[in-house]
Amino acid sequence: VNVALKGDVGPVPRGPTSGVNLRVIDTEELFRSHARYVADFLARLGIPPRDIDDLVQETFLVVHRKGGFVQEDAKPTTYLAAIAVRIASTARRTQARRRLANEPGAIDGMASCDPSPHESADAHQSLERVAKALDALDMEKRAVFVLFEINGEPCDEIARALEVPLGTVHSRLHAARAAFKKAHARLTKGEDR
Amino acid sequence: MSDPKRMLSDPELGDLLRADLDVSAKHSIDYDVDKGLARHVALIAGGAAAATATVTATASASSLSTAATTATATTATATTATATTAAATATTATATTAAATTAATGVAAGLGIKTMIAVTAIGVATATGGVIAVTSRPEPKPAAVTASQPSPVQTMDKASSPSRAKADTIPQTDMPNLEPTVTPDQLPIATPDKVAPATVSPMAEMDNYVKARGLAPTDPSAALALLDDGNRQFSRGVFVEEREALAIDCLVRLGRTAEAKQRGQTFLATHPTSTFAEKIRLQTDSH
Repeated sequence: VNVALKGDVGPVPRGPTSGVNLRVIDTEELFRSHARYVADFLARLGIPPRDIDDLVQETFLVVHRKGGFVQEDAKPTTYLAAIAVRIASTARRTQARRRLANEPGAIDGMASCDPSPHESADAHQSLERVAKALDALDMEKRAVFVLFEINGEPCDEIARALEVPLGTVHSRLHAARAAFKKAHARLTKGEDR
Repeated sequence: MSDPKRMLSDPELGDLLRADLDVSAKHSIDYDVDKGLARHVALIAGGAAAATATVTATASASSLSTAATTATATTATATTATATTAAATATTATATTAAATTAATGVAAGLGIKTMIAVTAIGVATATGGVIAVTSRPEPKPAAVTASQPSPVQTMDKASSPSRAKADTIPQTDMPNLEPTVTPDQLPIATPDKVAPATVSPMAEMDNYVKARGLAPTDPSAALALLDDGNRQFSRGVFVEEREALAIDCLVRLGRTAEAKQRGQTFLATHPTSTFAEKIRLQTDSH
């Protein structure tokens, strides 16, 4: 199945995390290498497509305001994700709240790059189920779930970026998994919606 | 405390659940990084240009055109750069009509930020310019894919731009300065809905902050006024700390040290770990 792997559309940079290579990455460079990651993450948080670039811009503007990303102890991906969550939370609370519920998410479009209609339709259904199940989670749990389960970020990096204890990440993940599984089971039981 | 096994690789879970997560992890939205970067660069450069636009908001179209031209230089990477000046000028000069706003659809979104009145164009450009173009990724068989399965996102982003544009301009109600750009006809979606007065447009808030930041070095009084306005409009926004830190900076610049110190102390009490804390401490202690 020739699905669009992340590597196909741009690598998700891992960046050195040792802390040895301490340098400031300006936002342009950071944008080039991580904007897609942020856009993806925002989509998985349920931000509708037309708002994604606005929120990507805000995320990087915050970094710029802080003087760029210091490659010290945080991974750029989780660092950016932590900012994006904050911005996405506000967006959801305010302008987006009334629209999100009935609107197709960006995730709906992810399947469109599959090679055949059949595979595309299958993938689309998968993505839709995941998106809907994610909607059952509040933003805090959703962020942790997406970062760990979908993006594959380690819990300690998530904890560092979100500035919460590791135990908190584990407990949020635990609660998020339970809610996600429940929602997913409900969706698969009632297939065809 | 070691990490648990990811669900997508946990054989104890159902196949469908694992498969769904696996598919999700392997898919990505097609975000146009180049367009996004052009906008980002324009935004970053926007401080000074925004200041110009603010100061000359009531001036002649020619001076606005100057600001727009400057902005054009900063957005040289935008594909529509050549059409920018004229469109932006038209928008800033006559931004009372939807038609003018629509004319600016092709304008690099960042420019809209700089020209203050043309902020409406951002929503339009975002909706129709397609920074997010889900199906635009070159694929071996793109025709088959797009023909057989029209993407709902594509439809939304590109085909339905008029209605989407309306939706995107709704938050502009947060910005009194922009009222002329939003005609009643543009607001059919929002008006019947419960649009709370506290509704916040992240972009409007960002504009407010970027403009204030651009003004601060040369006209701290005007920057303060903008920041006060921002505090009123976006009291629960995402730039609360930034606005207050900048306001304190402006007070220091104006020599209003007592006020700066008082606000600095309040800030430090409220946000002791803020990234601005150290700077504020230094600024207010030294006066």
